[in-house]
Amino acid sequence: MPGRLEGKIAVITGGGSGIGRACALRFASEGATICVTDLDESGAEDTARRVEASGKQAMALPTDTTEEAANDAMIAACVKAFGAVDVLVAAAGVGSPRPDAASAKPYTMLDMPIDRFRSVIDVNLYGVIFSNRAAARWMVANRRGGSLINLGSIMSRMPSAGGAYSISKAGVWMATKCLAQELARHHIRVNAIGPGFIETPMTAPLRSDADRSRWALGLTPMGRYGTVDEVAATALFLASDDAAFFTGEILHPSGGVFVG
Amino acid sequence: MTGLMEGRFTGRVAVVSGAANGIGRASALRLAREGADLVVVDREGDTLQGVAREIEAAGRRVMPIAADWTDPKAVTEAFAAIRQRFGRIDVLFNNVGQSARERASEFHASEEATWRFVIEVSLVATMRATRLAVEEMRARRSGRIVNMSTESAFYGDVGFVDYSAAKMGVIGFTRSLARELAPFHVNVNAVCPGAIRTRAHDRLPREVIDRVRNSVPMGYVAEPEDVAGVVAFLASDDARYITGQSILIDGGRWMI
Repeated sequence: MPGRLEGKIAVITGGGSGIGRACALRFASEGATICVTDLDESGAEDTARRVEASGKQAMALPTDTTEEAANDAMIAACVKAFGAVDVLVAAAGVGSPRPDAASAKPYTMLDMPIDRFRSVIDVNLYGVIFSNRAAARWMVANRRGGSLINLGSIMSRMPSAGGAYSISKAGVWMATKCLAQELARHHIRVNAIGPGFIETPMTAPLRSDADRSRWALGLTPMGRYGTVDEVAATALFLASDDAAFFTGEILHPSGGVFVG
Repeated sequence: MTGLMEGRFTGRVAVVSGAANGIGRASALRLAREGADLVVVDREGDTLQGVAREIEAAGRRVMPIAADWTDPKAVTEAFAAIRQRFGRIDVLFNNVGQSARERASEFHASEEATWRFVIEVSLVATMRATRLAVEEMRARRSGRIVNMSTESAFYGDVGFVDYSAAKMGVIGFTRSLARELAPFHVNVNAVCPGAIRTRAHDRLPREVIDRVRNSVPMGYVAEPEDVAGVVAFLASDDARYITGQSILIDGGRWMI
């Protein structure tokens, strides 16, 4: 029985864990071939093996998305292995740095060391821009439409302590819109997902801190954390033909968090 | 339609208002093709029969109801009949609504009777139907409500002040109700279509249609089926963590 992404080839950055891995597995279950990339090579390998175990083709690539050339190489390797790229999910990202792992107290914008601030922007914003550029350049050059899906956050529209995370995610959303406008005539759709508080490795410190957890769930009308599968379900929708008239949008699988 | 998608709504009951034409019709057919039994409602009973036959042809049960959704008595009777026939409602798509159409004018020249009609059919009718569906959903701790808004609620539309106000009202209703019902696993979202090829669109002057199309980055006017796909997503299990959202389907026109 054909799936909703039958015959499609998807590149997923940050595919070694969390939301990226869930997207890889869900897309494969709908028929896609998956190129899994991650800074964490063993995580990417693990996801690729799981995709293969489900009977679909996959490859794993260690990729540092903060280097533009690495993104170009990632797309080239996918095209070499599978012949094309139809869908990109830019899920590689990092959370807000904290003074130390055990500390409940976040940095402020005034005291966050600027190299740590910059590293968040590098991964969360430049990584997305570089991977989008690499995929879209191939699509435009080969006159082939596609769907680019970027991981923003509810923090794309909300301030948060330290600034770096919210600023990077707000940038992701605006980059999504700028690219959507440029690429519409090439039949390339560009959308963002702005998840709420999801059970991922990134949110583990938040979820294990009673005060911060109370704050997060207090903002969430559904009163629970989301699952990575629920975010992957939204990515699937955006990758599918059901979203054919959708571009420049951000969808919020967030349990109803108000983001304006 | 692909194989895996058949059956996302198998065994579920969906109610679609304004289902005789356009987006309502396309959404009812889409839900039926994915397994739902349908209640289709419209004032235009003859056209509605045609939609009902298409749903039957897809192998689903269908209950057509010819009713004016601005008539409280008719709506109450309709929901009593739905309850008797199906016992529950899983998906409610409040699609009915319209602008003042040929009576539309700029606000300085408008009449209160016209606004009252537009707000009644575009906002109050949605609240009325939802009120009659929601107690059972809340008690059963399961349900999906999708409300029809429009892009013009956001950008404001010259000559359609009443319609834009009513449709922004739909968004406030959606957000508030979503918050009330989130603990009960009932999701409430709105769809906000832009340029879609419907009867309302076809009535617009040629130069307006050209202007709209040229303002859409994707460069085309979409079909009702493009909205139906989004309605089906919001009604499906894939959207179970999405609530209170107002989703534009406008080919990238606004990106807000």
